[in-house]
Amino acid sequence: MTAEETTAHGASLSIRRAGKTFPGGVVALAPTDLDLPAGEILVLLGPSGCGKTTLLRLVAGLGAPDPGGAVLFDGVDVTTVPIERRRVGMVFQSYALFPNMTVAENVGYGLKVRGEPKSSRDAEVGRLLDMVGLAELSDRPVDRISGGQRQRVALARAIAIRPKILLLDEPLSALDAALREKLRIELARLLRRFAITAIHVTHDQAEAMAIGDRIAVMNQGRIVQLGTPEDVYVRPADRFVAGFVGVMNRLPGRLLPGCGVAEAFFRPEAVAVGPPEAGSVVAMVTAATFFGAYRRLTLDVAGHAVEAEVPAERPVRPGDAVSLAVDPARLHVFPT
Amino acid sequence: MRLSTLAAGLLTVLVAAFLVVPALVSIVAGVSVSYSRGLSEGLTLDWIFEVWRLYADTILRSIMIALATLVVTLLIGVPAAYALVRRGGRLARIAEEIVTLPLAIPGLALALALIITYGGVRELRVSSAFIVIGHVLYTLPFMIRSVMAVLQSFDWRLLDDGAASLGASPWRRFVDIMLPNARPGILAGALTVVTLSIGEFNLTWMLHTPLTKTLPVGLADSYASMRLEIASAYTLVFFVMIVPLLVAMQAVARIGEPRRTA
Amino acid sequence: MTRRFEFLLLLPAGVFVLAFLLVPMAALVPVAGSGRLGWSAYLAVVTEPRYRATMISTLVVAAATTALTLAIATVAAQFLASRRFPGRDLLVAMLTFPLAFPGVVVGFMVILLSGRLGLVAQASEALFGERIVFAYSLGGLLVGYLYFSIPRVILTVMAAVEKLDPALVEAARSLGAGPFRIQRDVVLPALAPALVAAGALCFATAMGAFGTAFTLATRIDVLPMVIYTEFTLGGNVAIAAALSIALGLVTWLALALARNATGAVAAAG
Ligand SMILES: Nc1ncnc2c1ncn2[C@@H]1O[C@H](COP(=O)(O)OP(=O)(O)OP(=O)(O)O)[C@@H](O)[C@H]1O
Ligand SMILES: [Mg+2]
Repeated sequence: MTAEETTAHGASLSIRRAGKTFPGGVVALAPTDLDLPAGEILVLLGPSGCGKTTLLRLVAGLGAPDPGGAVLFDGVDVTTVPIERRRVGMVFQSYALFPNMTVAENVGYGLKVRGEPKSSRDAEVGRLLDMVGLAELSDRPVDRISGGQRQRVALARAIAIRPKILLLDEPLSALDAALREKLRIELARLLRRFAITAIHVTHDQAEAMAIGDRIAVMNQGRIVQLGTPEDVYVRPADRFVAGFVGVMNRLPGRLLPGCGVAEAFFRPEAVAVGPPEAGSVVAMVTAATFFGAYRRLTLDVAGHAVEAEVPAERPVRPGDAVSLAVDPARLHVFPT
Repeated sequence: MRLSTLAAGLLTVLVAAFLVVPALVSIVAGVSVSYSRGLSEGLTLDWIFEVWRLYADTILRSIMIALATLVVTLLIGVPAAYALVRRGGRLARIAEEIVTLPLAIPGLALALALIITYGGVRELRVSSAFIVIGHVLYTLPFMIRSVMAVLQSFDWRLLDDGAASLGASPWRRFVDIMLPNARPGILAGALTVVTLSIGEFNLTWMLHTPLTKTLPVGLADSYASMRLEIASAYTLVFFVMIVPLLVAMQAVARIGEPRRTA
Repeated sequence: MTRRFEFLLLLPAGVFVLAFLLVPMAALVPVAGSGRLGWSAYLAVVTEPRYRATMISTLVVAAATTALTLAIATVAAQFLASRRFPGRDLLVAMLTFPLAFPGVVVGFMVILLSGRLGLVAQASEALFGERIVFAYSLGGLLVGYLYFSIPRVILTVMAAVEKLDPALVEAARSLGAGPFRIQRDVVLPALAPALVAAGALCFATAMGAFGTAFTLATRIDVLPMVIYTEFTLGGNVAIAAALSIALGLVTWLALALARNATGAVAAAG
């Protein structure tokens, strides 16, 4: 296996009716179809237990799909190929760095296994460590570096084998919030730079928006929406996506004549707040929080709490009565 | 101090004395000119030399047998431990139960079974290999458990998956990842195996022949037929061999506390 | 693929265990039935008065060893675990250093302690003008088994005591419980799993121990000694095999029961 086998962008991925049922009958993943062009970064987003890791492991070869399912790299069926011959780079949630090796040895291990001569291996490891900003730490044992540094070692190690597909399972979740935010941007930048087909798993929607070319929102073992971050945010496919991605108001159907039993979803920025006037929906401000660029209001609409945003200079206070209107183009109605 | 504490302390000290005093007596007797006339006769190393003259072969044979036992338990025990941890589940538990059976069966019974089955194979019966077989049987569970315990103390599957994703074959992962990370357990197991093998008597007494006497067999022999000073000096030689192993074993147990995966 | 890998890893140990453990143990079964008594050799442990008496005295010595060892270890372990004082480490070292002594050496220790030239004999002669010698009796054997068991059991119990939540004892004390009540109601129940596991181990080891009895020799009739004499001196392989199987069953049963009771893994030395 040498460099000329790889294109700069990795392989395209197709998943055909791949599902996963665990012994005991837990259906962790319903039969799923998915196509990923070479070079694209897909984010799997969903709540805990929805099957993200399960799907990722099927792609990696760390578990066979239920009979009838198939995984294809560049159109070639790899369903029965074990992980060590699939050439996938994996970044594990807890990194899986080898404690018996230094930073450099970890990064170079995949190349060593492939029999790459030491000189070219060292050069490649040096290049990668430079890229992730860890050149100084190359001889440290991996249990003597910080969480953020480990995360980058894991990334460099996975990239070193020039994988066909890079798979990242919640690579930031072991870090504290501040570091996570910083590394999110850095990771997005690195992934763009590697320009490699990648699947990134997270349950953090801000991370999904920052990193993904497309986002697959998962729920209870299925992909419920697949689209660009904008699609998912602006045009949620169903109640679950609408509720899971971003801040969302929801009001029950009786407020909307003619819709029967339904629920209306709309984002705080879709709400227009004005002075109270006859014939409009009137609400009471129960809380107002200053956010610098805007002011977030919590309104009481006939007993329902609704979040709205107004320009920061509008002097709205708790106790004020206001009228509100929702932009119909940004209103999503789903039957309950 | 409470009365109960005082009593507990006293008992503890008495028990410690009960354990230590005979050993001290034996050490002193081993280097005294005469045990019955006490230390006033002076100290000597003559008994030690006498022990060496009479029993050097048993000491060397015990060391050789311990090392051979160690090699075999390493070769068959470490891979088996890894297989059992990997496999998991009921089958692996049954297999573990069978392998550790020699811990629950008295050595005498095991030795009898071995002699009944293989005693007729003359070349085996008269060689030290017969004793090595017995010792491996008895020490293998310690090696396997020790290695299983370290493997279970870190997330071996995660490391295994990690190495697999980088292209390493199962054997490669075993050698590159599992063996180095299981080292504290292997070391602890190795020390236990050597210590137990050097001191093993129950099996060995039945399995040995006049030409394959080990240190404990020689000890039993000297206790029965030699003067007390020689028996003591011989025991002293045994202490000198076994105590450093024990100290090392406890030190390893302390530093070998479960390591986290990075 | 991974199945085959695991199979290959396990194969060498499997072959060894099959050839040198399972086959020989199975071979023991028919041998036991091949003697003068035929298959009733298996019942000899119960029916023949001599073997029955041996079995009973072996059980009694093993049970007494276990009870005494557990009592001593429980007291000493609590004394050592709960406080730090100068010389503590030395005391712990003294209590655990005979850990790997084989039975023969332990027997020799008993002789030095209570044999004809032993410390007890010398002391009693100086004090009462009479030599007290008990090394070569069941009493000596019991002393030897204590010597052998105390270090092992103390280590286990100490580990359990260190895991004990001190707040438990403090809470009981704050409620007005005295030291014996605290032991009975708080400490011992908490230590029970460790005591059961260590006790079973101690019992099984004492049942099967041979070296100590062999060194003290002469008039001690315990099961391992009888097996040995039947086999080597009496040439009575069938009885030796039957008694071995009975002995193995008792020790295995003791450990299995303890493990069922505690879920812990025990191992006899
Ligand atoms: N080895 C297994 N055996 C049985 N059930 C499993 C196994 N692995 C996962 N599951 C179940 O399958 C479902 C999906 O698990 P999966 O790990 O894919 O979730 P996830 O989306 O990655 O969650 P998280 O965000 O918590 O990591 C869960 O209900 C889980 O309990
Ligand atoms: Mg997961």
